[in-house]
Amino acid sequence: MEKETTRKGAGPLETPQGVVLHIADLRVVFHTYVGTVHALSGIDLDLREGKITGLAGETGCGKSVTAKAVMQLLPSTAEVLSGRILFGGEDLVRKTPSEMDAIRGKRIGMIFQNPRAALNPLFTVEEQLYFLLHRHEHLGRKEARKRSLALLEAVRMGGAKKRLRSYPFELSTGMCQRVMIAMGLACSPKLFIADEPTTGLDVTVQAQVLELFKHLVYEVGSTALLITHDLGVIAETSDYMGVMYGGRMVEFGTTEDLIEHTLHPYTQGLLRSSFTGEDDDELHYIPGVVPDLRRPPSGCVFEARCAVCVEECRVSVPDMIEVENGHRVACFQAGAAGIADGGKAGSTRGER
Amino acid sequence: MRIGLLILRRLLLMIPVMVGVLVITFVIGRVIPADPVALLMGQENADEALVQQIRHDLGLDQPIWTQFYVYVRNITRGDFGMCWSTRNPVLDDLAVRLPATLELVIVSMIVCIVLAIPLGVYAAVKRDAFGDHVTRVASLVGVAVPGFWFGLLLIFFFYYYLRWAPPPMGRIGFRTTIVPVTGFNLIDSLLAGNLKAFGEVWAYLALPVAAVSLRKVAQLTRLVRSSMIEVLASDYIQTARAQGLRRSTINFRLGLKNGLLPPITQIGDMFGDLIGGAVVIELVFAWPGAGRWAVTSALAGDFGPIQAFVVICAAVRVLCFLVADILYAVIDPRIKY
Ligand SMILES: Nc1ncnc2c1ncn2[C@@H]1O[C@H](COP(=O)(O)OP(=O)(O)O)[C@@H](O)[C@H]1O
Ligand SMILES: [Mg+2]
Repeated sequence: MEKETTRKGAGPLETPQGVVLHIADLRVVFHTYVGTVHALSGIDLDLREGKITGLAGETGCGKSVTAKAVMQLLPSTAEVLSGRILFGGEDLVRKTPSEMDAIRGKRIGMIFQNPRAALNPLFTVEEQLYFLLHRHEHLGRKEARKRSLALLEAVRMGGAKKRLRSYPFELSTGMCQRVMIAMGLACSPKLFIADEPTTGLDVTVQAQVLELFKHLVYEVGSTALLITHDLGVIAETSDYMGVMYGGRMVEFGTTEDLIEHTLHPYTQGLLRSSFTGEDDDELHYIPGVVPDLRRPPSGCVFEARCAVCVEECRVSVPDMIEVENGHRVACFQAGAAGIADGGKAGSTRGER
Repeated sequence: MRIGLLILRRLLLMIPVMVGVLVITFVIGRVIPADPVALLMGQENADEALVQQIRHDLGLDQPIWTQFYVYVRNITRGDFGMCWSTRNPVLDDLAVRLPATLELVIVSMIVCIVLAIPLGVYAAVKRDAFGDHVTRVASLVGVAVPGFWFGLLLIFFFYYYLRWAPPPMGRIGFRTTIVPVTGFNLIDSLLAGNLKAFGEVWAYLALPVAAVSLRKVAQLTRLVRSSMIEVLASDYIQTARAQGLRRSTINFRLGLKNGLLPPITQIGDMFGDLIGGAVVIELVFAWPGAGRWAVTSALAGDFGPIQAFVVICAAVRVLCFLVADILYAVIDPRIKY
C-alpha cells in the first residue's frame, strides 16, 4: 500500500538522547475484505540504549504489528497512516525496501515465535548462517564457517561443530531458538527485536533461552525489544516495559515501577492474572473480550472491560501522561481501585 | 549407501505393478479379440485342420495360465510377439517408432519445465498483480483446452493461414534425408553435420511440441505458483526477509528449493502423461511414432503393438516415479529412507 497520506510532521530526525529507537504517533491500519482494521492507533515508544524493553498485552493488541512496522515487514494490505520510526537518525517509515534490506539483519536483528518454523527446513544451520553472513559481512564460505562456529558457541550450543551440519528437524525447539538468536545477533545489531521468543518452549528451556538472551544483549551492547504476552518473562528480563491494549500503549515505565506502582487498570488485571499470590488460589482473569479493531470505541479502548471506568472514559480518549519520571499512563482513573500506592493518580482530559 | 537402499526398495515395488500391467495387456491381447486366428487368416477360408495347426503353433490350445506364463516369459526375454499385419517382431517395429515419440516427449518435457517454473515463480512473486492475472487466466485456459484441438488450431494458423510452419505430416520433409543412427532426428542431423536438416527438425517439432505441452505447462505453472505462494508466506521466508537477504536470494536460492518440492512429484508424472498425450497428437500431426502405430494397429485388430506400447509406457511411468522419489529424497533432508 502506498504511504502517501497525512503523516505528521517532518521534524528533526535525531532521536532523543540515549534513545536507540523512537516511535512517535504510529498508526497502522489493515485493509481487509471485512473492513478496515485499526491495528495501531497512535503508538509512542522509546527504546533506551543498552536496555531491554518489554512489550506486553493480550493477543491481538498490536505487539507484532509494532515490531513489523519497525522492520518494515508489514504485508501489502497494511497502510501506515502516520507516525515516525526514528533509528540512527533516519525515519524507517520512509525507507525504500532495498534500503531496509541493508538495515534488516545487520543493524536490526529480529527473531520470532516458533523457531522451528522460522528456520528453513531444507538448509543446514551453516548454510542459513552463511546466507546472512555473506549478505551483510561479505564473508566467504570458510570465514563464514569460522564465524558461525563462534556464534553457536556464543549461544552455548553443545557440539557446535556437529550442529553446523544439522538440519532444523534434527534440533530441539530450544536449539532452534538458539540458532535464531545466533542469527539475530550475528552482525552485532544496534537493535534486537524478539517477538514471543519463548512462547511454546518448555519452562526450563524458556528460562535458559531468556537467560541467554539477556546475557547476549548486554554483552553485544545491543538494545532489545522483547515482545511477549507473558508478564513473568518481562518481569525477569526487562528494564523497561510497555503495556499495549487494543492498538494503543496504555502504560509505560521501568519494569519495577509498573509492577510495584501499577497505574492502569488493565496492567493491574494482567498482573493479577499472571502472578497469583501464595494464599490466593482464585484464578484471576479480566472479564470481557478485546475490542473489535474494525470499530474501535470512541472513548478509552479498555472502557468496556474496566472496573473503574467513569462517564468520561466513554466519551474521550485518555492521553499518555507522565506521572512520575518516565512512568506514563493513559487513564483518567490512573491509580484508582486500590492499585498499590501508585504515583499521584493523575487524570487528565485527552482532546481528540 | 542409503540412497541405494531406497532405489532397491522402489525397484522391488515395481514388480507387483508390472505384473498388474502384464495381466491387463495379456487380457487386452488374448481375450478381447474374439479369435486371433481368424484375424490372422482372414474370415473366408476356414480350413479346420489349418486353424487347429495355427492354434497349436500360437499356443492358443494351452490353458490360459500357461498362455500367461509364456507371455510373461517371452516379454522378459524381450519378445513381445509378432505384429500380425507386418509379420515383423513387435519389438523391431517398436524400435523404429519409439525414438520419434521419445523425441517429441522429451522436447515437450524440457519446454514444460523451462516455461512453467519461471512463470509459476513470477506469478507467485507478483501475486495479484497484472502479470499474475494474465498467467492465471492463461494457465486456466491451458488446462481446459484439449491438446488435439489446440493442435488443429495451431495447424490452421501456422500452417494453413500464416504458412510459417511446415505441413503437419511427419517429422521431416520428404526431400530431406537423415541417416538414422540413434533414431532421434535432432541428434542424427547433428551427427551428420547437417545444420539445415537440424533446423528443419525443429520446425517440424514446434507445433506438435506446443500441442503436447500446453496442458502440462499450464498445470505445472499453477502448481508452482500455489506452492511458491505458500512458501513465500512461510515463517522461514519471513526470517529471511527479516535478515535483509536479497529478493533474488529469497525467491530463487531459498524459496524455489522449498517451492519445487510439491511439483517434483508432478514432474515425475509428467513424462508418462506426455507419452499418453502424445498418442493423439501423433495422429493429428501424422507423426510416425509409437503411439500412432499402436492405435492404428489396434484399430486394425492387431493387438501386439498396443500391448507392447502399454507395457513400455507403464515401465517408463514407474521409473519416473522412482526418479522423482530420489530427487525428493536428495532435496528434502527430512525424508527417511
Ligand atoms: N495481515 C493482517 N490483516 C488484517 N489484520 C491484521 C493483520 N495482521 C494483524 N492484524 C490485526 O492487527 C491486530 C494486532 O495484531 P498483532 O500485532 O499480530 O497482535 P499481537 O499483539 O498478538 O502480536 C489484531 O487485531 C489483528 O487482527
Ligand atoms: Mg504477535
